[in-house]
Amino acid sequence: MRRLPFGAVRTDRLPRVKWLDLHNLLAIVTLAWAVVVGLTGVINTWADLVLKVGQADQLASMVAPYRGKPPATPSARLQAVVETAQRAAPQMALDLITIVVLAAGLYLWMGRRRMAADDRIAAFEPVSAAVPQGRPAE
Amino acid sequence: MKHTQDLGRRALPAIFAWPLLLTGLSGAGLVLALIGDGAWDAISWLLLATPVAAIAWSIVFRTRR
Repeated sequence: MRRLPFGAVRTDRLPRVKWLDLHNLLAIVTLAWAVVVGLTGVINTWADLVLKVGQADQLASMVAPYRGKPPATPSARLQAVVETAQRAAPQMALDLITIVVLAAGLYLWMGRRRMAADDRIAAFEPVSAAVPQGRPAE
Repeated sequence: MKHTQDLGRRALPAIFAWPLLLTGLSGAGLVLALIGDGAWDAISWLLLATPVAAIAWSIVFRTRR
């Protein structure tokens, strides 16, 4: 390798030399590819951790003023929201169909979040069921 | 053929220049496929094909017969 250019295959020597060169060529190209795939795997593995860190750090500080308070109730009238949106972007047609589509999307999204919460609770229930309920009377 | 002439002893960066280039091209292809659309997808296909192309090119053109 120190005396050969990249990818040199010496077929004029012994077969063993030819196979050695092919071995080296395939190996280094495969290694380059595997490094890229491995880095992709590192990113995919850390993505969840990064998300959790963001939730525990920045998002937690953002919602800190609302800690312990009841969930926010919608306080804006829909018509006022529509008028505000039309003032901000008059060229966008915010019609009834758009609202219905957005509301349906919001409904589905909230349903998904709620399902995720139910799943989390379901994951805890066998644990809580296994905890003994006090000592038996003696 | 002239492609496999003796280059003298080469330094480590020179030996790994091509593999590093292939790594960079493959990574760029993956990122492009992720963030680009249309023509960028086609470019990323080409970039992702470079390792295979390098093997084929070496076997065809850097084989001393």
